[in-house]
Amino acid sequence: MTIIDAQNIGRQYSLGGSIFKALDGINLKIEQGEFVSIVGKSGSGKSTLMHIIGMLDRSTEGSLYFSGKNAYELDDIELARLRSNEIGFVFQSFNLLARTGSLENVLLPSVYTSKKYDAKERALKILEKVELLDKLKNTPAQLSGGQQQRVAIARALINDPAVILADEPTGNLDSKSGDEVMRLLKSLHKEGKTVVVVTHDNDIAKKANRIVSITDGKIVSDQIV
Amino acid sequence: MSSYLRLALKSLFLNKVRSLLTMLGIIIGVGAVIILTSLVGGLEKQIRDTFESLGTNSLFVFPGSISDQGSGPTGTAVNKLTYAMVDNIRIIDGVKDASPHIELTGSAIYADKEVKNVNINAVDANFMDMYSIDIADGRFMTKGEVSGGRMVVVIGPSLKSALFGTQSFLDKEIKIKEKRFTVIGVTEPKGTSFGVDMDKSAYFPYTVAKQRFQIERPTYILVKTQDTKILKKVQRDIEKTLLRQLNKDDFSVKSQEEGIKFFQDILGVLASALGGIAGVSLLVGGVGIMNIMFVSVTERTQEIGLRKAVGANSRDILTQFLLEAVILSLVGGIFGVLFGVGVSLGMTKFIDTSVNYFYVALSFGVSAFIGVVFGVAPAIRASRLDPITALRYE
Repeated sequence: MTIIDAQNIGRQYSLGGSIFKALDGINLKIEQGEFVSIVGKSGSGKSTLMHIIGMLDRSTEGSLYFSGKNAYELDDIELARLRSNEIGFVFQSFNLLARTGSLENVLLPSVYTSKKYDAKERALKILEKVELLDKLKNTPAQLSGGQQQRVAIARALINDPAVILADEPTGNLDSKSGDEVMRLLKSLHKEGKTVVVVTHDNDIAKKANRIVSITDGKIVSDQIV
Repeated sequence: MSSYLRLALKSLFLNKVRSLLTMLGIIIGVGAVIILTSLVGGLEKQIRDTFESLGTNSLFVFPGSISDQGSGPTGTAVNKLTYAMVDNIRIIDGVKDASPHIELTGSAIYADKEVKNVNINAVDANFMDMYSIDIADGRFMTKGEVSGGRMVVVIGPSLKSALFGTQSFLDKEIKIKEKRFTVIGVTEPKGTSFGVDMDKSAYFPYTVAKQRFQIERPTYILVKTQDTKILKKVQRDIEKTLLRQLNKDDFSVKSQEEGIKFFQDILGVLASALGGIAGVSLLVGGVGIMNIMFVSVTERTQEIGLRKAVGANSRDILTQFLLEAVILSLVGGIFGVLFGVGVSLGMTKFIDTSVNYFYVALSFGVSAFIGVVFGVAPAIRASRLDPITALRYE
């Protein structure tokens, strides 16, 4: 089943009168259960593509279907609900709430979801999986980078989304912590999650089953490994 | 809604000191409105009590024009009343008695003791009957002493104890406003009235005020009629009598009720003015909330971006930030009410206050309203943040 279907996506920005094309004619289908990496240099448009796939941003051309639904026919509230229920974001700089414990951070998306579940029980289960049960009350400042990213991944999982979108998840980590994070993402893929990792690092990209390369806003290669 | 409330409370708790300081503006504003209006209310109650204690057959002749419909005095403050007018009024049909009253303040001295801000009354011999004051010891001044301009004084009990302690005081000489008087009596305690300690008073003949202090005009004239039923008629007759010598704008004859209303009107203006000033501080408190909420939105830009990424829609964000502002002002309002009512009640030991629950409700309502009004702009800004820009915000 196709979960993400981006058709002829273009994204333009007007910068001081001149028009800048961040993305141009992107066609990308991602099937459920795939582990895809989108690789490209800084400024290639890979992050823009991830934002569009994650429905945080809207393309200026083309259309996006999420689980067969036309995302561009949804209003702000419906889009937010779709994001909340079906997408888990992981960011390069973790984006955890400061002065807030790990458990609270993991629980954050549960406030906005329309899914019904025992949030606390689930959060504890996931934190156990990412091996942070002993750090429930620790604030981000009291955690290492790797631990922070694991909290962020736990947060992405709390609403049991279909897709995990990770933007440079290892970018702020040393190689050991980075490997840990990638192993975690890989295990999520094995459990059936669709995982999309955006990275500039070819070694990281190679850990996925499919590598989509982007240069200057265009897909230059798309290969299964 | 409960989860929004929890979110808002949580972030306010994360910044406890800031939240408290922001609330302080509202606390002070609400408290000030309540305290000031309570003070005015207390004053009003005292004035009403004082007027009422004078009896319903009382009429007051005030200098200047006091309009019946308008609020407060409108005429010039030039006093054209004379002592002779008191005698003219006394002979009007239906008038039981009339008495001039001159109010002064000054110091009283006995030996090495000095009492400042004594409530000095220059009055006629009939003062005791007119104002229902009783003598505890000694006697009041006689008609002869008044007409003769004798330097005799009757003092209130708290002035007596301040000057003499437990010593004998009758026939002792004290100095009031640099003039020597012989003490001939002390009044029964009367408590406070018109916001002053009535017992820190001194009474001497009005003729003394005229001859020794060159005070040519009574502050007002109190008239008692023989019956309450003929009050209106006597009021008109007094007006007619006075119009022979004065213009319409030079005086006003008011009944007890009108007198109460007159002061109520003045105090109403005072209450509005003080309440208004306090209201401005409430408004400033609101601006403080807005300011802090804007700071908070900027500071939490990344958090807003994140919340949007994990599924918050614009309305969720708007609600959360608006709730924070409303909680700040509501909790501030509650503390302000407690503070204001507490201080007002506590002050009754020193000065009469009367908590006006209309103003309590009004100031609390305004504080809640302020939270919404001043919280909306920052909340809208927060809700409109673009998630991607917000996420990247450092």
